Amino acid sequence: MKRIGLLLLALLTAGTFALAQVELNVFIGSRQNPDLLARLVAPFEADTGIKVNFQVGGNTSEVQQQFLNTVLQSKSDELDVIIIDVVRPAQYAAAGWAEPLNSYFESEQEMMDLLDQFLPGPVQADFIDGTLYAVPSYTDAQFLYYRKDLLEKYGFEPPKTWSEMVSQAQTIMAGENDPTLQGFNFQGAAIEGANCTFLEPLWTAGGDWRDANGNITINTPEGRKAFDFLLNTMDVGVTKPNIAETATDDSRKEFQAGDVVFMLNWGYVWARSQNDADSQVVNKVGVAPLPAFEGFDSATCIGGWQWVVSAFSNHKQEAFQLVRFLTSEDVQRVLAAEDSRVPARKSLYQDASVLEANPQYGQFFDVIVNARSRPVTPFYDEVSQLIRTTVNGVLSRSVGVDEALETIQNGLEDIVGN
Amino acid sequence: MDISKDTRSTHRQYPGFWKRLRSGNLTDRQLGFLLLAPALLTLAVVMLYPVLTVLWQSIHGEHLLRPWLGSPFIGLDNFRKMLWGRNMIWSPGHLLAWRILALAALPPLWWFVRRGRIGRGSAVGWTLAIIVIFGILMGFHPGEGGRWGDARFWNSFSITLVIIVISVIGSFAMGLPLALLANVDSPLRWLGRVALLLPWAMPRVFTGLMFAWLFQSDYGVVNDLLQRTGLNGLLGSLVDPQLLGSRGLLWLSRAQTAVLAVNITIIWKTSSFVALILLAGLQSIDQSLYEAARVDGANAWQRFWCITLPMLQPAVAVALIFRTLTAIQTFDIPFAMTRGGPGRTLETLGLYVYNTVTASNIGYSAALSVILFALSLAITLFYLRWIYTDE
Repeated sequence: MKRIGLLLLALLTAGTFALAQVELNVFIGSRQNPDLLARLVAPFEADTGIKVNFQVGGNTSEVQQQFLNTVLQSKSDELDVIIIDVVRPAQYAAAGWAEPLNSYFESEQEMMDLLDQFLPGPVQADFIDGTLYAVPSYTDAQFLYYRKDLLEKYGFEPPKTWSEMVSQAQTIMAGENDPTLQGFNFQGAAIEGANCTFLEPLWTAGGDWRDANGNITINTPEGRKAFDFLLNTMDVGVTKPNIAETATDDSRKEFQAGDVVFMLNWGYVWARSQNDADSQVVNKVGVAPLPAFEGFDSATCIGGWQWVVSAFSNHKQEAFQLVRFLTSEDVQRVLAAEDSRVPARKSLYQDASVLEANPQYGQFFDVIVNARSRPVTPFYDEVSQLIRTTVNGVLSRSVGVDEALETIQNGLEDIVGN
Repeated sequence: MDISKDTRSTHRQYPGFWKRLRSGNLTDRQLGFLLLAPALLTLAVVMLYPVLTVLWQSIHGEHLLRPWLGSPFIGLDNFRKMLWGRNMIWSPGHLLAWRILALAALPPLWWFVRRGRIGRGSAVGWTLAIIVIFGILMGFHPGEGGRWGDARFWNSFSITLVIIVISVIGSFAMGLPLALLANVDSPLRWLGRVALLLPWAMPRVFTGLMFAWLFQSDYGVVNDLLQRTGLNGLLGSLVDPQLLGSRGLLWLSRAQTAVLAVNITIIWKTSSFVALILLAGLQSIDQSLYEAARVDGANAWQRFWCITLPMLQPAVAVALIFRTLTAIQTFDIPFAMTRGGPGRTLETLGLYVYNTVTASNIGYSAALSVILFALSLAITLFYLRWIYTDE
């Protein structure tokens, strides 16, 4: 009996200590490598005495956000730090879910110095009208992957314009005479990536989704040019007619099987195509900036993830400390070297340990500095759903170009105008 | 305890419910309600509360991504946006639709007159009222740049109707022969019955994913079979070249073929359910009817047409109700096969509700759910009336 009393006392004391210690709850997705992150925060826990718990949910951006929508809508304090997709900071800012971070820095100058160390693309997404809502963790972009061996065989340089790319693909397809060889592959399924499939030709034709005055500019000659280009690749046989079924990883698999000359895809493809046992294209792959239309600049879609401090957290100061730690150069170096996360900090593109593990980052840098944000709006979910389903409709030829331009134009006016 | 004595005592003294409960002296009626209470309570919590919440939400503008708007009362605004244009103007230019609707209003009225339910005078009055009301409504049309309500809603509404018509008829066309086959008196009929149960027992999403692979245009089984049987060449000369890829029909990446593929899948999945119910109906038919018909010299076709079909009618009605209701709510199979694509071709009402709610537009998705509910209710009432007038 006495012993049980002692045991209870011991448990109670332990409980009190546990209560005194600050615990931070961090939400991440299953793709963010929870084991590695848990290992990385160990020194932070030792230094500060703060306990960090990871909550893992969802393996896509959309699934994670569906969960977070309900948690944050109820103003729950159960999460302190959250990792979010690069398309979402504007939504978090407008909804009041992300704590503005300016006042946590000692001075305005300190904040600007920090932002200067990051690439412009992620900063553009996280730093909204002079307020910092998120700090970049790692970044990503769409690249033009090409078959180095085939281009060399036919004496081609990586294409600078879309029409150059199409004609190179036609020559190679005719020369190889392989019925399974596709000239140009991209994401036509109604997934998040289909937004980029439309925005990239739109940007490289000099257009954008809205102008400086906030008017929607989809139903324009540039918008038409973007759709016409995508349809034309099918008409001339460079792109397969069922591209509307192709999602991100389908493209990767077809490219990796050696069936594709040019492909638009994200950074992860490089490591897979060079390291996978079943890859047919080891040492045969090149990466280049996206082609553009004649007379315009290359542009690409930015991806990546950011850390925010929940506005409903009870430990914001500690949460901010953790965000600073997670976005520090040391942590990002390990993420890049061990987990192939494309760094958001500029300095890491010259870092020996990073480049040793990922020699492609040297080539990535030129593309990533030109990466642009998908529509920055609090209503990104709706905008994305509208664009990607319409793009899929055009590529499956169930929606005409006129109708598609009008649908996106009117839809965006409705969504953003509300 | 003598019940009759007990009820008499109720009239005399009327003790309260709690007093009776304590003394174990409840009336039948009270006891009945008491026993039903847990079930009623559960139903209220899991059915009534959500239904009322959806109704409440449908008349409030609630959008999780616009939390600063709160959830203000907006009346029928969601429905106006869905069914009606934003800026409707009235003009006599749309009188054609007016006339058609006015004509459509007449037959039911005449039917009531013939049945003697209403007099000729009031029938004329009703006709005029209908013509005027519909006329005013139909004279409205979308103004400059406007549209008739939400184009996406009308798209999902019409694809839902298409799926109802094709898949319900299809599942009966497939289910009836299956039921007859399983009812044949043969030692091998268990084989037919197992085959009947399999598609029915399979989860819908699983069915959808399986058929998505079968219909895959590059390496799917369907195109492979068409190729092997030489039908691909024939198809190539018959259909629009835009529907064809290098290995046959582009099943899931063209609108027309995707509608066909999804309907085939739904028919495969649901005809076994129809067949099961019809089989139960077939087995309840008295065999002596067939014997009597044989004695009278009726051939197989006459026996089927004059005995089997009429006797099967109650089973058909039950199957029809359940099949139509599931067809209205079609969600899983198009979701698993094409996510409602290509484009929005197969975005049924159920999928539209799902897509709207996952885009955090709670108010509008509730309004869509109300329309879906109303549609289900209308069809159920129609069938119920049909069954009961038959008896």
